[in-house]
Amino acid sequence: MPSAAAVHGPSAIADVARAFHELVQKASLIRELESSSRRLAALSARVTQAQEEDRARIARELHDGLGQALTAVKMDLSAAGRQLGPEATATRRRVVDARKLIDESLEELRRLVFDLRPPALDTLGLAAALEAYGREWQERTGVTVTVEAERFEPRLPFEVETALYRICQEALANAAKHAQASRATIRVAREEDRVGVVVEDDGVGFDVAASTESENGPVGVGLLSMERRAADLGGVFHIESAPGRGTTVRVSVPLHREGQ
Amino acid sequence: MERITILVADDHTIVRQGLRALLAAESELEVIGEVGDGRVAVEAVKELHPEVVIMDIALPGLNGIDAARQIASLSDPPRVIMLSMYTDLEHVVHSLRAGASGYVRKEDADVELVAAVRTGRPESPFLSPSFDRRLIEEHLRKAEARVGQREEYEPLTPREREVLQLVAEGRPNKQIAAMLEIAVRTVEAHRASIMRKLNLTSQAGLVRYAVRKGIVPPDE
Ligand SMILES: Nc1ncnc2c1ncn2[C@@H]1O[C@H](COP(=O)(O)OP(=O)(O)OP(=O)(O)O)[C@@H](O)[C@H]1O
Ligand SMILES: [Mg+2]
Repeated sequence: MPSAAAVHGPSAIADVARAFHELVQKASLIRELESSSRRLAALSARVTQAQEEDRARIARELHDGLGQALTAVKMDLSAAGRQLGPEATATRRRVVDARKLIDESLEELRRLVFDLRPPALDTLGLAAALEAYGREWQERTGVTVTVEAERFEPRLPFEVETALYRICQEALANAAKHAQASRATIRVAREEDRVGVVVEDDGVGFDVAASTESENGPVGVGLLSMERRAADLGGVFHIESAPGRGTTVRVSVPLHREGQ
Repeated sequence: MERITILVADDHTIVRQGLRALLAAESELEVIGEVGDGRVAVEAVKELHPEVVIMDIALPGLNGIDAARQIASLSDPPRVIMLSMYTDLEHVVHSLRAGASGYVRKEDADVELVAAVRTGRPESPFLSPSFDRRLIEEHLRKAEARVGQREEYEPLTPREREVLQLVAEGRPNKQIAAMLEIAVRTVEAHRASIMRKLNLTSQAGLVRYAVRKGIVPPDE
């Protein structure tokens, strides 16, 4: 039986060998790419987590440190004010002014804490936190938003509540920034062993393919971060939109993750 | 004036100091205990039987709203006045649904807390004037409606239904414990869980639910 070398000659063998070598190189390149993209995903998940922990810690420190100190100072100030004689009008006025200043500072502090991590997300759960956020968003933007969020008993895991809250927050931020919508809706509901989240607006919409696959990479980090947050939980992210047709963001994450 | 005994639950020493000074100025108000943990607050209520609990929300152990709910499910519970930095509607509404008798913003404690302690009742809670009472009532109604929807499927375990029936029949925890051959604490835990699952705040609400579901016959 003639060998391949006999039929095709030595140069053909070299070609095959080269092709094979290239293939092996490509395969190992792909493996490297895959492994580095896995490492990147893991890194991004860890960065997101670290960021959430920082936000929670700073919010807690503001609330527990500054917030409690300010309220205590106000109580002291009132007690001192009550001891003033009737002739101390000027001092009394200064006490009143100081108390007003404390109130304003506390209002400011509350806004900061809410932006960092709304307290309701820890004490009451995702549904209440989204309702609070929806109300704040509506007041700020003038766009009507409806929140229909199911209450989970027992509560969803911490990372799931946090990620879904952030996704809704980003979707509404986009609606406010780009959509010129007149209405928006948030829905959170159980779908068998998954949680489904839908954020919809009736605004101008956009060409999804054009803005997610532009040559210069993505336009912003909003869509990307929503997708990443869903992926970190083993879930999926979809966005449906077309010019003039509004925008719908859909996320679905498993309630229980294997191996965790 | 009649004496009112008070338990203070707040995890910040400076706030507790301020409260002590504030309440000391009123001769009929007597602070009989101070705790800094929600779970400990529930235990302290069982031990000290205060008439009023002043309750922070951001507490270690168990948050103030969940603690208030557990306290409301005890027999002959004290009135609970929430005193919190949180001013959003959600915290106010959840507190009232947990059976609170009032909600005062922490920074308004100096002018409002004493009135809240004196006058707040579960059926007519004291609310800081800075809150929008109409909006709060509207949200309370919405939350009620949600409970109505949720009852379509059965949220209670068989054991909880059993306990619910005995409670709705007006039996004390001790008797229920004896009948089911479980500890009184277990009965209390079941009761708290029932109230939480059904979003109920009072014994009366619990009886109404039991009647509606045909678990006990209507009482004329
Ligand atoms: N709800 C929406 N309605 C209309 N256009 C949208 C909507 N959401 C996203 N877009 C379009 O998709 C683009 C990408 O959104 P993405 O959130 O990723 O970035 P961005 O909002 O521009 O910036 P960033 O989120 O980083 O601040 C937007 O620039 C906008 O053109
Ligand atoms: Mg964006």
